[in-house]
Amino acid sequence: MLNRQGFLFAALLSLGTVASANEDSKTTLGGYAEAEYVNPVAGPFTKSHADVHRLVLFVAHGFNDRLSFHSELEIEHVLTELSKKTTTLTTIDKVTANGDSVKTKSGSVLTDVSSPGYLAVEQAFVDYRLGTTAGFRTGLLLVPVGIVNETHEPNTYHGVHRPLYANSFIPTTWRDLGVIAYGNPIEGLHLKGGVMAGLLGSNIGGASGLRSGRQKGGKSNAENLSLVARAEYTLPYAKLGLSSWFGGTSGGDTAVGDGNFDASVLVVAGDLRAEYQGFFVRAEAGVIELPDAEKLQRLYKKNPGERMVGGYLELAYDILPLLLAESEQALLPFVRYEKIDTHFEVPTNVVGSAANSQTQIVAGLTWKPHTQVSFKADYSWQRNQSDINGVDLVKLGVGCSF
Amino acid sequence: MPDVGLDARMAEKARLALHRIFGAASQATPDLLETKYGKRPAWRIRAQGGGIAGAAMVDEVPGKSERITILVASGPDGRLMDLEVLAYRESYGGEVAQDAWRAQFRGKKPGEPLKVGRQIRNISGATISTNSVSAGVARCLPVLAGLVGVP
Repeated sequence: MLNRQGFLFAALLSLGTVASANEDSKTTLGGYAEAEYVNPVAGPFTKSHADVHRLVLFVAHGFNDRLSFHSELEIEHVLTELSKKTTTLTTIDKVTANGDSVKTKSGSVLTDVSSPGYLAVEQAFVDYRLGTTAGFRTGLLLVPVGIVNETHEPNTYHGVHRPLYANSFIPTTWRDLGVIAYGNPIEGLHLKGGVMAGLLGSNIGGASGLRSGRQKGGKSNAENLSLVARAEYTLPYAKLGLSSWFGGTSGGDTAVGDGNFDASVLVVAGDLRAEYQGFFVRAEAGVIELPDAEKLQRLYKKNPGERMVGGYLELAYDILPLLLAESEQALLPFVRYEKIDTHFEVPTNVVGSAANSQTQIVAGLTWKPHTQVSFKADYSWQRNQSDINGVDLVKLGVGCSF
Repeated sequence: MPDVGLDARMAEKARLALHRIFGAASQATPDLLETKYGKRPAWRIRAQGGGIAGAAMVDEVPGKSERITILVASGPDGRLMDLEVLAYRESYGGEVAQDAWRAQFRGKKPGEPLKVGRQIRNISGATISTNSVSAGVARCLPVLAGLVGVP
């Protein structure tokens, strides 16, 4: 709290001009981390687990007021040490263009890799602000679709896990190489749009829809440059967002088509965040269209849906002011209802799976002793239309960002 | 906290803001005020008929990775007259500069609670900026009250 006597000023010094202190460059460190305990109390999985789900270190450097570099380095599940087995490949015959047979050794390959963890660059880009309201960024970027993909620090959402929608519908953390321009044409409206490396149709399908179709910016297949755009409008108590992604998924596989937009996927997703006097509402909904799902199924057999739908509604209320009027902290009971269906419509050669129509209800408590630190507890009830493999989870977690 | 200064662009923005807030009475060059957080450009604005019209000061608060430079202006009663964002250096989250958000600080007096989510509206996706700017206003108000001589 404010201490009125906390500010002591020794002297008023009169100077003709004040020297600029803003030309100096500066490096910033930051990061976020989240740990969890998950206990399945109903369903086919019976073993509980404890995990440091993510530790992300963030380094940014401002070269000047306009030009900066941002990066995030992520370790998921603590360990990335591989226990690996390699096998030397047998000698193979290669036939050259003029018909000769040549013996070649193709080296060794990894045949078994097991590691609980994962080390990755999550973001790495240069941002150039051309004016006070516009600029562009390029490098490894977060895809600006939905709320959670760009704002994914654990203290920014309720529940130990990100929403199901932000996992199996919008595949967060979704990132790739690209260039995105942004600007504020009028007060309250923030627009961004650009071109990024695309998704791979050879991996799209099943319960998690686009998730396996993501590339992650490590030698991404860049045959399908995709278009992405997002508009955000800020109202006094709410922010509205509309995002879209459109791009091919052929990866240059001529069996699918080598055009940039062949086997295209279209994502359209809307979102709302509102808060008023301690009440918080958050909602997202979207549709994904994959018109060439039949062709992808014929070639890759991953059971892609032709149309996928999803959405959630989350309500929370800060009850702490009712208990401790002067508290700077927050204590938020919340409930989230989610529905996603990655087989909402399927092509004729895919058998629609009722298990891909999923419902999740999560109810819990978020305690924020600081805006950037969350202690979390929740109960999640996950069901699907097949009536099997329903899961109830009790989860405890802690997360922070700085 | 290091000292805070104004480059030409921010100085011009500050001059325009002071003129808007205090009219012709605003003086052009700031003093450099010694606070326990470092030196801050500050103005004591004299009323045209004599006496004090108010005071203003510049402060810097942390954003997600870049600083946000604000100008806080108080009237002769020590209450906030206006808040101006002189420099927002990040690409996203710049909504704290919007008039509708800044307007809620007008009339706030030193020591008044400025909790984001209660007295001050949060802006979704700009939580760090809103909390930081609110905290900046809260620590500037008593300094300005001292400048205008409000106990």
